[in-house]
Amino acid sequence: MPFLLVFLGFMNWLGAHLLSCPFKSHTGLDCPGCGFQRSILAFAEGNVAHSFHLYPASMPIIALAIFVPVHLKFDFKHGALFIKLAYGLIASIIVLNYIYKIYTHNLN
Amino acid sequence: MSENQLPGQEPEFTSNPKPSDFSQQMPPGAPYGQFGQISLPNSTPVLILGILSILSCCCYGIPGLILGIIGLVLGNKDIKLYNANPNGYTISSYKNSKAGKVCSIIGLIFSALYLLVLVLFLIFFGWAALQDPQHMREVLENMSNQ
Repeated sequence: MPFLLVFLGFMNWLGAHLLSCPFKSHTGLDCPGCGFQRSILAFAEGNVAHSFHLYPASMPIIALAIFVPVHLKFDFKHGALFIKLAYGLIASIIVLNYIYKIYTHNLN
Repeated sequence: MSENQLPGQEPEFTSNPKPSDFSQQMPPGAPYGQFGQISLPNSTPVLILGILSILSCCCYGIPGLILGIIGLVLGNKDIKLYNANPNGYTISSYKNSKAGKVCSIIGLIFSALYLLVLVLFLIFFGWAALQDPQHMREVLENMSNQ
């Protein structure tokens, strides 16, 4: 329960103090990482569809961020292979999403 | 290289003389006992650096480049260490190091590509357009009108 309160407090703080991307504040154009924080916030609020729309790679990134410490603690047999595959998937999602944004002129 | 690592291993092997004699006759990778095997020194940092290298694609891709290069160098060091003395280190840490190295390479390529795209932006649109969002919008509208 205290953990949940800390988590909600952090999400509240993050909602008020979103870190601004230097590239975006300079140019008004999105960088490949833009939308990640908003997407995490939407996910924390339970709005999965909106989270996916803002940044499709955020949910695999959360899953990987949870899996890596668990793997380092318990040392799964195919954990390293799984991390490699998940990482490749995340990288390709980010690249495809950015290309899609450029083509559909959704950069700002 | 391998002679430098041997003194560190010897005390553990001499306390278990039989398994070490046995493992020297076995081919590498054979399921001999786990005596004296330690995990590679940088397997966990390499994995974490490799994963962080793609998350820091903001800030012009520079943090990703730095983390990726550090991860790659440490990972290569670990893999060399393992190849010099495969019986001294655990397989799982070797796998972690290799996964971390792959992640570092992907993060490095990604950051480098992003930096390249930024340089292309700079060449196509010019520094003035990148400094000023309003100017940038005008340039983009002119381009789409043509």
